[in-house]
Amino acid sequence: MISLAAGWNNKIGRLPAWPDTLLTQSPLGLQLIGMPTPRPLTLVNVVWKNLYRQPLRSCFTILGVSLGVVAIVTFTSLIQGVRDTIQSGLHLGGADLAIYQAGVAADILSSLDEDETRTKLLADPDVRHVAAGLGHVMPVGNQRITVVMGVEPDGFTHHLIEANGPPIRALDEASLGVMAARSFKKKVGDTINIGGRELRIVSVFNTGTIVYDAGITVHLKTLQEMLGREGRASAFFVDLRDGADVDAVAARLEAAIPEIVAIGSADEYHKVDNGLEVAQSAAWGVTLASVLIGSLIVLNTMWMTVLERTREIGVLRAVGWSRRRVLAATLLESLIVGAAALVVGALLGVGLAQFISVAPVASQFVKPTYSASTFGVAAAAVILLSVMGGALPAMRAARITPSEALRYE
Amino acid sequence: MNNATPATAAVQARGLVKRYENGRIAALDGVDLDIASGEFTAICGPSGCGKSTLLNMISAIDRPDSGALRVCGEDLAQMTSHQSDSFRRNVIGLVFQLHNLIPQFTATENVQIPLIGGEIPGPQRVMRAMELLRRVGLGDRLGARPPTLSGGERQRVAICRALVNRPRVLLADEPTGALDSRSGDALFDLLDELRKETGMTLIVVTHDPRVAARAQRTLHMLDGRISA
Ligand SMILES: Nc1ncnc2c1ncn2[C@@H]1O[C@H](COP(=O)(O)OP(=O)(O)O)[C@@H](O)[C@H]1O
Ligand SMILES: [Mg+2]
Repeated sequence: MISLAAGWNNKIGRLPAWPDTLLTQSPLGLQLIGMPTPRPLTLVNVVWKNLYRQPLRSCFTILGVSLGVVAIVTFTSLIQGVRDTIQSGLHLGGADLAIYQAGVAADILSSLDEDETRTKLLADPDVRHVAAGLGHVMPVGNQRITVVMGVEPDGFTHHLIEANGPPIRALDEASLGVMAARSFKKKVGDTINIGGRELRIVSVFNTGTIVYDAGITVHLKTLQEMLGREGRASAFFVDLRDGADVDAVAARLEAAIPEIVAIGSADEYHKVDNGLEVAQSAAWGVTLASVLIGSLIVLNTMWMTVLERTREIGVLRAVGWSRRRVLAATLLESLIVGAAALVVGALLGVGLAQFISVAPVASQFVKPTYSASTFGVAAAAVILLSVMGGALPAMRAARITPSEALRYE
Repeated sequence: MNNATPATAAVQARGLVKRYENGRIAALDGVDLDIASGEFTAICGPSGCGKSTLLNMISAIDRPDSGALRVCGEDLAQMTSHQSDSFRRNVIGLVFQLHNLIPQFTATENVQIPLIGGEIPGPQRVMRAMELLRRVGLGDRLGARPPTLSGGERQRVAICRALVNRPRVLLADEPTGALDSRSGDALFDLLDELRKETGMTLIVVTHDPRVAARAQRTLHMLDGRISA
């Protein structure tokens, strides 16, 4: 106590210290020995208690703001999942590059001459192996949409794919992805009807890439014939010599063969399919809208709160709280609302993404990827909207003068 | 213990003027005032005569339009708003007619509110608050929330909140306005005792004529002036 009083006096310069007797003389002084001392009150306590005053209102505000977080988390994790699927799909079986027809808007529309393109690709000194594929989406069994991939029986990609049997060799053979096998309830030795033909299942494979694992591979010639697209391929997987510069080869191939695009990563997938880009811009739109709506919700609630507490804020100012402290307390309240909305929204968002990813058709194409960056984007959005929504009420609060606030009793 | 020369005058005002409503209302119309350090002064007068306005000037809550005002040696007319905040935080204690406690906080927490963000470490804030509450006879209500306290008890908590910064001047604006006369008397006894113990200057605005008897000096205000 003495040192405290002395420090206080030094700072102010000319104030007499209070007699310490006042603070030590206490008839009930002994009563508290052994009782836990209450925790000191902090700014965070004050802000926290404020949120509890209108618990329902706080909950509704948090829920309202969390919808934006839900949108961000759900969209971003699904899009990221699609990206990851594309990324791993491009490198199926250890391929370095995937080749598609240039100038198409969706990968499924890509169509190249099988032999001619293969010959041109193999002309490059760094290209070691080329495997042609023909992708198609069609109804199989009771599943309206199934990816069916025509593959070359001796394509290099087979060697690196985990399977419980041999890859297809004959025209009447099929190999199922693990998810397809599960959903069709088929195993090796069974037959499956694809496009009116009974094919024998020779193996079940597991690539780890959802679109393939939910799909079926058949002999390239079988699918070409079934679709009336003899001699055509939609994609080529290219294996390069060790040490080759993937980007340089891609550029060289595109220059030498104008009708193709060479894709090494998901970032370049827009060359053959802009679905991901469309989804990504939609996600950004939703993110932006949810930040704006969220900040309006915060603005509305905090503005009401500040008006209701005008008198109290006046008292705080009168007992020595600075404008800056009032501003900080109000902004902190918005930020806590935002933080709570982040937690609630992240949980709901993950729940929704999981729910979508087990839905009938979606489960064959998307599996959400939750990355730190998804939650980073959500957190940044929440901070932004809290500050945007909280700024005006906080400035209003800081402008409250004690003399006026104390006048309305 | 303290080698600073104590200023003899706690409040020195010359020709204080404060107008409202674009000058149509002169809440203070030329107030001259000297209050000595450690004195107990009562300010009486009819409603609307400018008592609260005068306290607002002394506590640096508001600023005079003209005139000179020094409180504890500080020239209030020259202060920036940042300096007034710190002046209120360090030199002034305020008790209002209504306790204005925050209902969700315990007595101990309410008393600590002015110290939030200050230099005094947390555990010491709690100790100060508890010691003050025990001093005003609320040692057994430390954890009670305002709604569970009586009117007199709430005002005592409010007094502790005003004292937690160890102010040199305690200003009370009709502090017993909402109390019955017995609790009111007890509150004035307490304020006067605390003044004697701490040496602080006590200025109380009141309608209660009995307070005048207790005070060392009584000022009467009328129409923005001190009449006696
Ligand atoms: N902030 C203000 N705005 C306008 N008029 C005010 C304000 N504060 C005080 N007044 C007026 O100034 C006069 C003195 O008020 P006040 O000091 O509150 O009187 P008292 O406390 O003696 O009842 C009254 O006429 C009141 O209406
Ligand atoms: Mg008044």
